[in-house]
Amino acid sequence: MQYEILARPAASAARLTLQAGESITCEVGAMIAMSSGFNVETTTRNKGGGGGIVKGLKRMFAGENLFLNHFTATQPNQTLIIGPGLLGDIIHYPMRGGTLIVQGSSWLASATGIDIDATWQGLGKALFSGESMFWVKCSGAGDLFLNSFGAIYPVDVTGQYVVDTGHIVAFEDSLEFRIGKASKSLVGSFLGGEGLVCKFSGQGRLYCQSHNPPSFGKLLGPKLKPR
Amino acid sequence: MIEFTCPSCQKHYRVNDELAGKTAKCKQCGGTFQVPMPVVPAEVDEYAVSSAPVAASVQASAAPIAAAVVDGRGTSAILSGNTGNFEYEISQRPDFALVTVKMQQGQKVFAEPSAMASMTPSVTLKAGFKGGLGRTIGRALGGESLIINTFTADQGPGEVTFAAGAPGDAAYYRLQGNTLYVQRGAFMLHSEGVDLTGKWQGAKGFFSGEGLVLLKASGTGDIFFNSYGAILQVDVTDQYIVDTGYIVAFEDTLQYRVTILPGLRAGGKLKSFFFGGEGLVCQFSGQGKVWVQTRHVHSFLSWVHPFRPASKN
Amino acid sequence: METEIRNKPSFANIRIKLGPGDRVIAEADAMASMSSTIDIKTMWSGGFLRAVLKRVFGSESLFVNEFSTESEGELILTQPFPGDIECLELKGNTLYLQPGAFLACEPTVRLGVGWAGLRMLIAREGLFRLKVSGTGRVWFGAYGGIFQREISDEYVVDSGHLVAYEPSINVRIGMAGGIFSSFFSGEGLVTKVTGPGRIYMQSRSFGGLAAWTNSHLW
Repeated sequence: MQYEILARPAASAARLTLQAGESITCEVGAMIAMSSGFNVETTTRNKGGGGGIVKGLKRMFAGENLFLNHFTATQPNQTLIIGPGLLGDIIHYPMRGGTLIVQGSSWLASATGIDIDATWQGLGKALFSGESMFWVKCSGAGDLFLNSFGAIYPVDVTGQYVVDTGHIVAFEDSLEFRIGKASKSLVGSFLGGEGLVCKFSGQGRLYCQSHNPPSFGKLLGPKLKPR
Repeated sequence: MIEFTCPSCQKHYRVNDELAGKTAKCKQCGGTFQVPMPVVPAEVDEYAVSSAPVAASVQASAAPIAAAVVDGRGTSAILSGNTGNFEYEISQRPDFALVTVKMQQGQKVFAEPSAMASMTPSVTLKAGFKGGLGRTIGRALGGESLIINTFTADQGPGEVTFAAGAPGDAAYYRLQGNTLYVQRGAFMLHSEGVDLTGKWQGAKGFFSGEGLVLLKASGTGDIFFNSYGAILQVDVTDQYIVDTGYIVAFEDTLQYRVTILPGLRAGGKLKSFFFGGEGLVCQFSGQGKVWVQTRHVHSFLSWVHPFRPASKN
Repeated sequence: METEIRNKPSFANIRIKLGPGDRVIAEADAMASMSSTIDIKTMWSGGFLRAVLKRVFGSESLFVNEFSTESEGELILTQPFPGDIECLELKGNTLYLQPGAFLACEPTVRLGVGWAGLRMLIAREGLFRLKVSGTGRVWFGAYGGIFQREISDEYVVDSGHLVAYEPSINVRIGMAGGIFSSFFSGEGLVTKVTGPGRIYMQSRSFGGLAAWTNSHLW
C-alpha cells in the first residue's frame, strides 16, 4: 500500500493507493473520497475483518454504537482518501512487531496485521481536563495512521521528558511513564494552569500534539447556541 | 521572473531575475528583505515537510491514478492573478485562507454576509437583494440567506479582504458561460455577470436529508468559494465517489448520482441536534472537476456539542 | 535563549531552548511539553489588582508561569486555539494586544492593562487591552493567520479581525455602511483605524467561527 499525506498540519488527509486484495480498516466517517474499485464492509465485535483483532470496540467509541469500515480493493491502483474528524495532523507509523500505545481519539486507520486493544488501562484514570481518556494498544506489523489536534512532533526520549497529558498522541511501550503534577508546589500545579502531566523516562519515541481539543472547546463553546 | 512574498507581511512579489540577491524594502509594510534566487520548482511534496520520521516505504504517487487525478500540491502557496475584472490574491492557505480583491473605480463584487474582514474606505457596502424578487425567493428556497452584500469601489480604486467563518481554504473559478454547482456554505463572493440561484431542477432531491444545499452559479464572470479543511481539486476522467459532506463544488459537465453506500455508515444514532445525514455518497462520472474538502462539518458539530451551554429552561 | 515558532500559521507553537539563567514567562496552560530539567514557578501576572482586573474584563488568566532551568532544557509553548503566533522584539516601544492574544514574553517586558474604552466593549472586544512595553521579546497569537499592514490614512477592519496595534494608531468604532446596510449585511459595527502606524490582523475571527457553527445547529 502506498500513501501520501496531504495538507499538513491542520487539514491533513491521507491518500492511500491499494492493489487488488489489499485492505485497510478505519473509523466510520473517515472516508472522504475513493475510486470505484472497493468493497466496503462494516466490522463489528472482535473481528478486524482482515485478520487484525479488535478488542474493546465499545469503549473505543465511548459506548456509542459505532463501527469500523473495512475497505478492500478489488482492482489494481485504487485510491482512498481518508481524514479525521477534527482539524489536525496525520502521520504514518510503520509497525514492526513492537507495541505502540495510542491516545484514543488519535487512531485513524490500520492495515491488516495490526491488533487493536482498547481495553488497555496502563495510564490509569488519566484525566484530560475533567474527561477521562482512553488508550489503544496497537501491536503487530503493518501500516498504522495516527491523527492529532495540532501539529504532531516526535520526541526521542533518552532521559526524562514531561508532557501535559492532553498533548500525548502515542508512545512506544519501551518507555516508562508516571502521572504527576507539573511543579513541586501544589499552588503552582493547580492554579498555574498546568494540571496533570505525564513524565516519560527510558528510551523510546513519543509523539506529541501541539494543541489539545478541550482548551479550544471551552473557549468556543460559550459562544454557541445552547443545547 | 522570481516570485516570492515579503517575510513580514506576505505581500506577493514578482520581479525580474536580475534583482536576485538584492536588498529591498517592502512597499506594503516597509520591512526589508533580500530578493531570493530564482527557483526551479522541484517535484517535492511541500506538504510532506515535517519533523515526523519518513518511513522507507514512502512513495509519492506522481502518475495519474485510474479514475481521477487529485491535486493537493501547492496547498499552502499564495494564489494570485487577474480575473480580467480585477486583481485577486488568496493568502494564508490552506487553513485560514483570505481572499483579497482589488477593484478599479466603479467595479463591484457581491458577497456572502459577514464575509468582509477589512476594506479601504473608498469602498461602499450595501446590503440588499440582488437581481430582483425572483432571485431572492430562489435563494430563500435554497436555504441561502436572503441578503447579498454589494461592495462598490465608488470613491476610487478599492481593496476588500474576505474571510469565511470556517477554517479552511479558498479557490477562484472563472465561469465562461458554463455552470458550477457550489455547496451553500462554500459560497464567498462573485463578480458581475454571474447568476446565483438555489432553485434549480434537481436541487431539492440532491441532498435531501443531509441539510446540505447546492447553489447553481452560471454566466460569465468570477466566483470564489471556501471550504472546511483543505481543497483537493479532482479531475475526474472516468468515475469517482465522494462522501456528500465533503463536496465543495463541481462542474456541470459531470454526471452525478447520490446513493447510500452500503456499510459505509451503519448503525449509530442519528445525531438529532443538527441537520444530519447518513452515509450519502455522490458517484461522479464523465469528465470534469470536483473540488473536495478534507473535513466534514458534522464531525465538528459532534465534537463541539458537549461544550455548548446548557439550555436554560 | 534560542526560540523558534513552528507550524505557522495553522497550529503555531513556540519551541524554546533554555540555558542556565534563561527565563521566559507564559500564560497559564501554555506548556505542551518540556524537558524534566525545566522548573516552573507560578506568579500573579502584573500584580494582584491588575491581575483581577484582567480576569474580570479581559480574557487573560490570573496567573502566569515562569520557566527557567539550572542546566538546560527544551520547552514547547502553545495556545488554546489553532492559529498563528508572531514574535516582536520590543526596544522601548509599546504595543496594544486584544484580549486573549498574549502568549509569552521575556521577563524584561512590562505587562500592563490599558483602558480600551467603552467603544471597544460595544465592538465585543472587551473593556481592556493588554499593553506590552519595555525591552525584550513578546509572543502573541490569534485564531487565523496573522499578517501586518502599515496604515497611513484610514482603514476599515471587522473588529474580530484585529489582533494588535501600535499606540500611534487611532481606533474608532463605526458602522460598516448605512444603518440598514450595517445591520442586514451581517457586518455590523467595524473598527476604523487611522495611521500612521502598524496594525496586526488575523484572517479568521472567533465570532465568524461561532456564526458558522451556529448556522448548522438548531
